[in-house]
Amino acid sequence: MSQSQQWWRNRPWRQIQTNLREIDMRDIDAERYVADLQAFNANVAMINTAGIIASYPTKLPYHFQSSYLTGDSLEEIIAACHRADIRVIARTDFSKVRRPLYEQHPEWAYKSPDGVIVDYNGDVHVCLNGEYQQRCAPEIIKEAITELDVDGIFFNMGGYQVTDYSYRYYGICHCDSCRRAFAKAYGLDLPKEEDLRDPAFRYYRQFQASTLAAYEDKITDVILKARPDICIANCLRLQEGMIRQESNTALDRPLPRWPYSASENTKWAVGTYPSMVSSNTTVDFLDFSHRHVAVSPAQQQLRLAQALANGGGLDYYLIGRLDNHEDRSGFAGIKEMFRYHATHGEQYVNLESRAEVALLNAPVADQAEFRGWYRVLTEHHFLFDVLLVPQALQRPWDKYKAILVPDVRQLSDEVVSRLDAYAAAGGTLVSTCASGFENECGEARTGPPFASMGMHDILSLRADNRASYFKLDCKERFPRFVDTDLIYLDTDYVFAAYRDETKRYFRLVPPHRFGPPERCYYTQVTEHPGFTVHRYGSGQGIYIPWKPGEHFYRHGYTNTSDFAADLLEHVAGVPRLRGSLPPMVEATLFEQQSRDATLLQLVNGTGHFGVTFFAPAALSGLEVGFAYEAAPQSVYSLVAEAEREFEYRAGVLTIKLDRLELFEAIKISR
Amino acid sequence: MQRTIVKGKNNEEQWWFKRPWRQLQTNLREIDWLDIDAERIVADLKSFKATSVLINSSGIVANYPTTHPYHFQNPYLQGDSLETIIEACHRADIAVLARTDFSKVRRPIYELHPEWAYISNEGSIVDYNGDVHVCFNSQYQQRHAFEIMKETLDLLDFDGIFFNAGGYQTIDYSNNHHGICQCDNCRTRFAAMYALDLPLVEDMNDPVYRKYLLFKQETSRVYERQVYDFVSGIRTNILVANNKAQGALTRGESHAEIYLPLPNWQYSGSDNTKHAKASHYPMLSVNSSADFVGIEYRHVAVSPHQQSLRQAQNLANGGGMCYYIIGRVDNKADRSAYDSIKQWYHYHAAHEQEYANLTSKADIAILMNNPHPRTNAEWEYQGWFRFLAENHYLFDSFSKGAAETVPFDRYKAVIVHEYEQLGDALCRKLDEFAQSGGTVIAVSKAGFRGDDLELREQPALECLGITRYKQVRTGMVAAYLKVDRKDAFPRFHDNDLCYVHGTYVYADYNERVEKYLKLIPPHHYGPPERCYYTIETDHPGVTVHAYGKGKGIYFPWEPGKQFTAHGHTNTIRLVADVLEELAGLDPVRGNLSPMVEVTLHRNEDDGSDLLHLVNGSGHFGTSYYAPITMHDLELTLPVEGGVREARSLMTGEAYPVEEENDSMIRIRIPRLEQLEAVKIVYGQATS
Repeated sequence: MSQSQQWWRNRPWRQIQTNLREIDMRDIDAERYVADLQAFNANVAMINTAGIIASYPTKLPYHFQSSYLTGDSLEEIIAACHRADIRVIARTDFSKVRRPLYEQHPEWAYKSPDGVIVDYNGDVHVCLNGEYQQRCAPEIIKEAITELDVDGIFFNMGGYQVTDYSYRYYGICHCDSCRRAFAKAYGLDLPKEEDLRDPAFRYYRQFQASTLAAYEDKITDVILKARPDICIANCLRLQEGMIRQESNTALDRPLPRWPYSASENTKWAVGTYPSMVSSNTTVDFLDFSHRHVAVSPAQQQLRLAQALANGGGLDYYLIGRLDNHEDRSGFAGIKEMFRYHATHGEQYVNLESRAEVALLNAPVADQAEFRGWYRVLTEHHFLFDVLLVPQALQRPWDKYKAILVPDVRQLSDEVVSRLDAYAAAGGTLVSTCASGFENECGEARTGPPFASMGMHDILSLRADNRASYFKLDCKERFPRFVDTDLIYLDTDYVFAAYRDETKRYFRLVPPHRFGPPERCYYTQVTEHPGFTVHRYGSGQGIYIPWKPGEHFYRHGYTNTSDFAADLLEHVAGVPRLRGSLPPMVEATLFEQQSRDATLLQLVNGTGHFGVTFFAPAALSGLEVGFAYEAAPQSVYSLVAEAEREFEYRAGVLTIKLDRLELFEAIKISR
Repeated sequence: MQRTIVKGKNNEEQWWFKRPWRQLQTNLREIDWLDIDAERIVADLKSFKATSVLINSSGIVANYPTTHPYHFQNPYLQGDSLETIIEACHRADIAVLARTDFSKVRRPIYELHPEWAYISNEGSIVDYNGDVHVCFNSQYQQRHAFEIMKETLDLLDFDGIFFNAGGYQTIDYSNNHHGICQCDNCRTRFAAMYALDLPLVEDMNDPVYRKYLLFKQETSRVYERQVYDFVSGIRTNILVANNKAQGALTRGESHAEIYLPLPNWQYSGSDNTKHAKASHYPMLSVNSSADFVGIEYRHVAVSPHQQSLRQAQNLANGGGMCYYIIGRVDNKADRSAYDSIKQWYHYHAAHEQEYANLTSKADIAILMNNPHPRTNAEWEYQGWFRFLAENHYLFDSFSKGAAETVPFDRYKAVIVHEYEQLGDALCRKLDEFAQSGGTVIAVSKAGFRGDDLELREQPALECLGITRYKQVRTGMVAAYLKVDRKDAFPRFHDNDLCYVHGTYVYADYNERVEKYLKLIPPHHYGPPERCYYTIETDHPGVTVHAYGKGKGIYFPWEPGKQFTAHGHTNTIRLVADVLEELAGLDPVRGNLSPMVEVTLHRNEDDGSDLLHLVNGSGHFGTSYYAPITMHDLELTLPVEGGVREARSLMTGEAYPVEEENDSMIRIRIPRLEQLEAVKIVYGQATS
């Protein structure tokens, strides 16, 4: 299919997912449904179609027919949407079948290591390798997309599901299909537990990856044969269509809250797969258990602002229909963001990030360390992208002044050598703690991963460092520490042997006495460094043998974030935005390609107060400055629809803003 | 033999009430004495404009030459002596308090008297790097500590004394919990009081443990009285911190710990000060900002903005200030907070007469939990604290003990959150308060137990109109309250549900009780196709019972705990509607952000009022940054007559005031940084 046939390309994206309950089809009214979408200015709708229940008359015996199809039909709804230029994505879920279907085919079920199935109120979990997902699901998909004029398809809960809606964990599937396929591929019994130290589990992860890839190929082929024109969600193989993610909450999820959920989801999608549409949804509800009550309106607006600011589309997900939703408190704020986007949607297509730093992440990486660095970069106004490895190997890296590898323990040889090459060619590579200590299969490397770090041996990783510090030196590069001489260290520290030419900074104070106060002083200061710098080719490798990001993520103390910011600014030499933005304001910069213009966006996160999200406090008298290639013709606020004052001097553009509420988008035209 | 000592200026009776409280606690390490310089100490204190200092003198180590055989002599006393330091402080009019700690002895002393030690269930002692925990009931604490106190106060001209780690200590510095002390002293004393063996575990379901709690309470009370009598027998003008028998000063602490579970308690300064002021009036409150990020990291500070917020909260709630650091001011490795602390100390020094005699004008009181961090009741309390602060109610908080004596007549409502233990006398007092026109708001299991800690047969509070508690159901997941009467819940104009997670109390109510909201019991919540509820019960979410001239309002669930844990605005909106619409309470109205705390005090010296706004907007997730400067604030305020002027103590400017009616003004505040303090002067306006 040519790019011009791909309806989603360069189309401003505003999706609403109405996650319909079976009873919502009883009295659904197509015109009302469309009118409600229009009131939001939505141009894409996602509707439950197939899987858990068939929301249209199905002819397939293993597709559970909804018994509530007494309202307008899905066909009528889709036609009404199309008349209003709203595209429709079919939502499907093949992870469960109703108990009567299971009773006919018990071999389809997921089975725990103890041999039990998961029957969640009559919905029985089925295995990816069972016949239902492998043979029946493709037939259902084919029926749904040929019977119905849908524009796209989304698969919920694909892959290997091991928990239920109550967050109970059941373990690795031990059904016969899994057992046979795993034995055939590796000649091994299935591992009982998810333990990376167990080689069988490491093979199992490869098994999961290859079976998932094969499944994706199979389903994609089925879809493209039947309907080559539709948008397949999350099809990373094609690198087309949309990446759909969620910003959600859960009541018992451990704190701290992740206030940049929508920023992060959008950043990695846009940074790693710029050809795809990033559709990160704001999930209306508190948790699965409370789908009918919404998080605060301010939190939902914040998520949407973050998605826009990071180059993504808009997406709102609620249970039931818009016209019968019981908690409508989020509607007004969401409409406001959608309306803004409907007016300025063209400004948001074909964007390219102007970030100067890349922060790497990987699915199995240390998310606390990653998120801490994410906060440091955002709250000190460094412009950065997030790249997922290994997928991001396909992206050019030469635009970045620095790449950060935040304790990404598992890295393939290819990623490691690419990172070294990046440093050799003039980049600054910053690695923390155990990054690259294992290959992508979780097997330990024998020596230091990066040649660029100037290390010749890893001696040990010590985890019990509570009550340790680093004593600062080279204060001229750490101006944030003008009145502080120590940085605290908790958790991991890597003891290593460095090459002679590797410069070592700071000195480790090992665990010391901390009570009673009369005896709270340290007596030993070692030569072990807090970070090292190694010239490498035309660039450098900076190694931080501990986890400042994790400290900051867990505790929030500026002691560690100030260290990280000084290191980036004065050791790695990465520029950041100048001016008067408070740390709670996120800033991004995108090039509007082929329009000779740049988009500066600001998101005001000041409403995030402890665990709550209130309306942000309005900010006044802000200035934002950055190096820019030419004096602009105009500096225009898309939000206020008015020109903004600016100054261009010595290659630096400074923009003045009287007021910032939640969100600002400034178009700089050259 | 007692020496002749140079007396400080603080030798008049109750000198503490005449002194503004800006304290520094330099928690000196033994090595800090190697080169300590009295003049430098005083110069540093003066740079903060501190009016008192707390210095370690006795207990863990003796920081003066001791002759007591069980007082461990600090071997590092090579710098200026404590005596010289105290004299230098007194010359600069800085009061000096002795910091003591009798909770541990050095191992060689233990070896002489192993019978003094704390003993765990397994029969082992706690030797923490050579410091052995000693039991509260041992001879060391019961006899020798007094001798050491006497030596300290005889030899040194201290103005006051503070006891660290008093009472029954069961946790060491590494946060290991060792359990109830089983030493012979405890065994004998407990048996003498209750004829029972000591309990082995802390379990409220164990009747013996409930008796043990009473035992601790009673023995601690006796000790407190003994200490007061003993110290005042030495010198009557010695301040004994935290001693209710003396009634001078309460020292609280706002501190961080690496191991504490989230969320952070961002109102720590307000909470400690409110509680101390309201519970123990006229005792002074001095709440400390502990510099460090955790006890393991005493040499690294929390952010200067967090310390600034705590001090602003102390001031706004009418309390004194303390800044607590490890080591000395002149040799500290992290000095990042000095400027922000100095800012508030200097501000206070410039306006100390405005802060000398403040009484709260709050019209709501909430019962404060005893400080057991992160118990169920603590979470519920903190949630209610947030409900009130973030909806801009003027409120006090006091301890249960104080509730029995503090008059309620100045309050419109008293909130008894999920607080199981309420004595009969307090329950009658609450009923009488409702009878005579007040509103009692009770939550969940409030009053389920009496002062004897035993479960009650009958509902404790008559004013609630509850005839019987039927069942406490825990683990409610996927339950809701349906908002059935929208007139009473205007914040729910676009929402029909409130979520309930955790505990619900099923009860019978008398026929006069008005029930609001309908409980939707746990329902299916996955997959989405089947996520709908089919049952709506008549079990209420809130009840209102007219009682005499007042009323009792009951929440049969735990909104505070839910809000502390999750922070969803769904909960605070519901409680705000109950407070405003059903309880008929008046918050300060206007355009303040929920992140701004409001307080109002009366200056008893000149009859003016003092309004404070504390800007908490710098609290971002787990971090504390500089607050966002807010502009063009407007608020209404209750007043007692014509207002002549409203003048900012921060800027010196007079702010525009409009009279809303006889008892209400509207005031405009152009700019709010961390703190605003507005002095409201009554009288005819002069033109």
